Amino acid sequence: MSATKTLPTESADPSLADNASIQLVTFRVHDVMLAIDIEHVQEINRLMDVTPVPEASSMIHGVVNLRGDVVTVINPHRVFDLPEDGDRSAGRNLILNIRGERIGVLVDSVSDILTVSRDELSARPQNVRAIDRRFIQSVYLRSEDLVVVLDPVGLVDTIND
Amino acid sequence: MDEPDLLNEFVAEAREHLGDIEIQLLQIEAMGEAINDGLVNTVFRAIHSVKGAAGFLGLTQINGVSHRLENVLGKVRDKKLIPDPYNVDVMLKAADRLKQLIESIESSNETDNTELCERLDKILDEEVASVATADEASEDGEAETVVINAESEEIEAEAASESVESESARPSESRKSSAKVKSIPGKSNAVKKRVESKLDDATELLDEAQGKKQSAKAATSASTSDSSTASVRRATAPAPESTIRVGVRVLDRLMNLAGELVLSRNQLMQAIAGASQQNQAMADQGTAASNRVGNLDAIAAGLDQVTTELQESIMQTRMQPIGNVFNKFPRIIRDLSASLGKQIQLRTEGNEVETDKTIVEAIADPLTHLIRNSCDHGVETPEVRTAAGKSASGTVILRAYHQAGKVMIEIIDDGAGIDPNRLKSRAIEKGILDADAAARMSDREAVNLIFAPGFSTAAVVTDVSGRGVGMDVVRTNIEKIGGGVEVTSELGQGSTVRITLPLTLAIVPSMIVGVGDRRYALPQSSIVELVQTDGKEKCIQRANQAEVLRLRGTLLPLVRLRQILGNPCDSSESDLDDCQLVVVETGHCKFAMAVDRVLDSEEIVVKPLGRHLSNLPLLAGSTILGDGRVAMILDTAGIASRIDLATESASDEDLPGERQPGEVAQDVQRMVLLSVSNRDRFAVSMDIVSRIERVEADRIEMLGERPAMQYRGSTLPLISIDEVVKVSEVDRPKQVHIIVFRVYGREVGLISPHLHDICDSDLTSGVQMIRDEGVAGIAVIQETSTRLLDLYGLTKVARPDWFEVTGSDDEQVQRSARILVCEDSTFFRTFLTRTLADEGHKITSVENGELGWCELAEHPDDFDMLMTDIEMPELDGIELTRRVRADGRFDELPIIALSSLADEESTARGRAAGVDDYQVKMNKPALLASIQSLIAKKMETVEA
Repeated sequence: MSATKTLPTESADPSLADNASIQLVTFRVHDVMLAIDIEHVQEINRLMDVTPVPEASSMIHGVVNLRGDVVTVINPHRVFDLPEDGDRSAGRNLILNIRGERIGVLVDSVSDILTVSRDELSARPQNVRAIDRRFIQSVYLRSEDLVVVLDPVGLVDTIND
Repeated sequence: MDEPDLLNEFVAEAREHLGDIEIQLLQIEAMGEAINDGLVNTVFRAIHSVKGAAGFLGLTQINGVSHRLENVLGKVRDKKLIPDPYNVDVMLKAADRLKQLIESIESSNETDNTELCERLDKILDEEVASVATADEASEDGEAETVVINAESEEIEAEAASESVESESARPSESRKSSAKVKSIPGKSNAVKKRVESKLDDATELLDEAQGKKQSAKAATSASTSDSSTASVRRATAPAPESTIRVGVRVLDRLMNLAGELVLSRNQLMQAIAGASQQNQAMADQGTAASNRVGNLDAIAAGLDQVTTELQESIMQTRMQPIGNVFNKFPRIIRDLSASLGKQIQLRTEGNEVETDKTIVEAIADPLTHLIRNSCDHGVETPEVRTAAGKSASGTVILRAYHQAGKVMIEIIDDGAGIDPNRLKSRAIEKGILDADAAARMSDREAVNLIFAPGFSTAAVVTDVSGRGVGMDVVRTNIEKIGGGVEVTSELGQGSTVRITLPLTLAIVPSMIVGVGDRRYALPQSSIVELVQTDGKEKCIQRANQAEVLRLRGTLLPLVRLRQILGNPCDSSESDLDDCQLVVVETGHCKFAMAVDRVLDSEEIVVKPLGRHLSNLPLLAGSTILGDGRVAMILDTAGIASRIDLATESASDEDLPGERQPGEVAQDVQRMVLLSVSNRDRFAVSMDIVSRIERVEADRIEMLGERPAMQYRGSTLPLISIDEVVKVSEVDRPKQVHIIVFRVYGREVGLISPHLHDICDSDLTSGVQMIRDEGVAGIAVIQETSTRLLDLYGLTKVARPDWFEVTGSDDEQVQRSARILVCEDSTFFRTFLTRTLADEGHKITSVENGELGWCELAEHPDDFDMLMTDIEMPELDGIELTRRVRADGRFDELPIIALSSLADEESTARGRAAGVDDYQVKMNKPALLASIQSLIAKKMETVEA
């Protein structure tokens, strides 16, 4: 059975709910640290039985049964052209809610949830090589590394094309 | 409630108000001078409500059109305007316009409806005086509105009683007051709306009160006042039928959840079945079995029942009457009759028949096309009709009804009918058919050529139909929703198009097949049969690049699902012959699919795929199987279009003349599957079984050496299979099934320790004959080798004494006959030859009708009787019979037709062709009796 962790949709701390700050779910795909605005993340699941879909785009990993709904799972390794890790034990299925449709993203591990001020985010710098600029919403520079904040709508729409 | 909400509410309500208006206006037109007040009032009120709300929301164009339409209707109601085709036409146009405006509500104010308004005004102006009085009437009475506003509760009763006193004043009253409400200056919108709605309520109650009063009046003229006051009191009570509007999304979600519940229930039932088996095993070993499992059984059964009912109820919420679609046809027929210069009347039946909302919506377009077709091609012009001795006006009947868990829709016209020969020649012209195939084709099949792609029979292409893209699209669309369509026709008398539709789309009976380590669902509606290759009659052959399946003389394109679905997970090329074949049919295309395994049949709940996957051509959706994993549903049409490209060249060049589109004879037998232990499987033909009973094993008693059972007040002799047939062991469960059948006038029960299934099985080939007593042959049914029991042979061995008595009686009249048997199934051919030879008859057997005819024509004096199967390749039994009867030499030749299922229709068809008797293949006593009586009769005629 998959353990489900439902994320808070509203922050308990009222100071965080204002428009000045944003909560990011950070996760790793191969060696790239990525993040998605928590607004778009519905839940994080362990990896489930995935059914491959014949003739689907290679960016699509397959479909899973999410409490009775059939949900498409995206393989970001294929989207960003990153090598796939052999070990999937820490892997998670990040369930996004994009315009009412639930879509899974297969990530190698989920790190933590950051609360950052919007001022700290910089718009699409030139120096991000690993990820196509189409998917980048902004970048957050931490002391030790760099977190690429993805535009989930852009990500999902790109696969359609 | 904010503005957009209000607007949505208005649109929903207006749709409801305008929903039936077309039908109602047409009824008003049909009644002409004899105006039905109730009907006109209903329409009037509907338009009035739309007008009021539109004015309130500032929808000026809708308000303007509805205001004028309301006035026209008012005039009709006041009997100052007699409805005729002209003014009803304008009213219909106005109703159409209102519908359009409501569908694009945001831009409605920018539309220009001046012309329509002028036409409506013109109708009004024809008698100016009455309109003027109505306008005047709305000038006064502002004070009264305030009263309504303040004491709105009382006004209902007051208004109601008022109507009792003066019914004639009522209609103008309500109209007047609503006009006043709008004219109140400076009142807040909310108040206005409240008053409006109160007024609407009041108007409704008024009507109800009036209706009640009138009926009361009619019933008892003596106590008029009493009954009317009573009905007024009742009228103020709340309406008894309460409904609630629910979003389709909510229903869909509910439906989904119910589907999930069904899955969970299935899993639970499986788990419990497993547990109870274990328990049983423990009990057998002498361990004390707890009754916990017994308890669980009961709980599970309860859950099972509730779940089923819940699912049915939720399904019910999605059901809509088919009348929602039928209602739009009177208008279409009316307009068509005018434009085609024909007189056509439409009759609809079964408007109340319900089916899933999605199906009701999906069937609208195909039905429209078929109705147009019936009017255009079917019903003739009045001149032609009168010349043919028919009434000048034609009738189209649209009928819906339930049959065998399906919804049937028939479109029947009494027009010219379809000429099969014209269709054939046309099909040859268009290259759809070659001359040979056309000659072989029966009239019934020929008529259905209209559904072939690129077919149009209209001599002149009209704008009504006949663009040549119609009927095949109709068929495809109907098949898309799991339905079917068929046409029958009597030249000169008319045609009937019959559509079969499923009750629901949400749950689809499917076959689960395995390819590699994946499972796929295949909707049962597209499956024709499952085939096991035998290397002879059924085998896989290569033609150029493509593989084909040879099946009973037909070649079908073969597609390997493993290849088409691409399974990168296991690239190992498995043994090509180690596969199972599923023959599917979609539209005009029939082909075989090779899968690794056929696993199970399951009722699956269709789950839509996300938008990234919804357009994949090979998939029709997905489902969640019992173990919680997702499986894809295959789209056979998608697969067909894929292989069309791949095999086109191969089949055209290499296999000329061998293709017979769609024509495969079927010999499906309904079999009861049973076993005495897990190693001994048996099958019994359902045709000879009277009934099956489940009984406690301890009810079986031994009378001497023989088992029997007290049953319905008498003793039922029983036979245990192991008395006659060798079995490895016999299980003795607590409950057994008794398969009751009749043999030589006696009822006998066969003891069946385990009953597995009743299934349709194709025994045409793949059956090995064996000469064991009581066994007719061995076949592979449901992947298990199964012995087919010959119940008569079995009984004869088990109870020889019964046959001695009857045998001696028969011997005096027993005649030996020379019989020609035509039967395509090797199994039945051998079975019949053996059975009849045992009785002393001389048998010649052939594989099909064509060979049978050759044999008969060459040796006309060698046969006393012809016995023929109905469904056969080359020449079927009916055609053979016709040919035989047409030849003068065989007037006296008795013909017995053999069938697996002797339904009335085919029986009638056979008798019409000249068949003397109909017999079920496995029913030996009846068959033998029939032979004797027909031979005796022939002798008499010859001697006489």
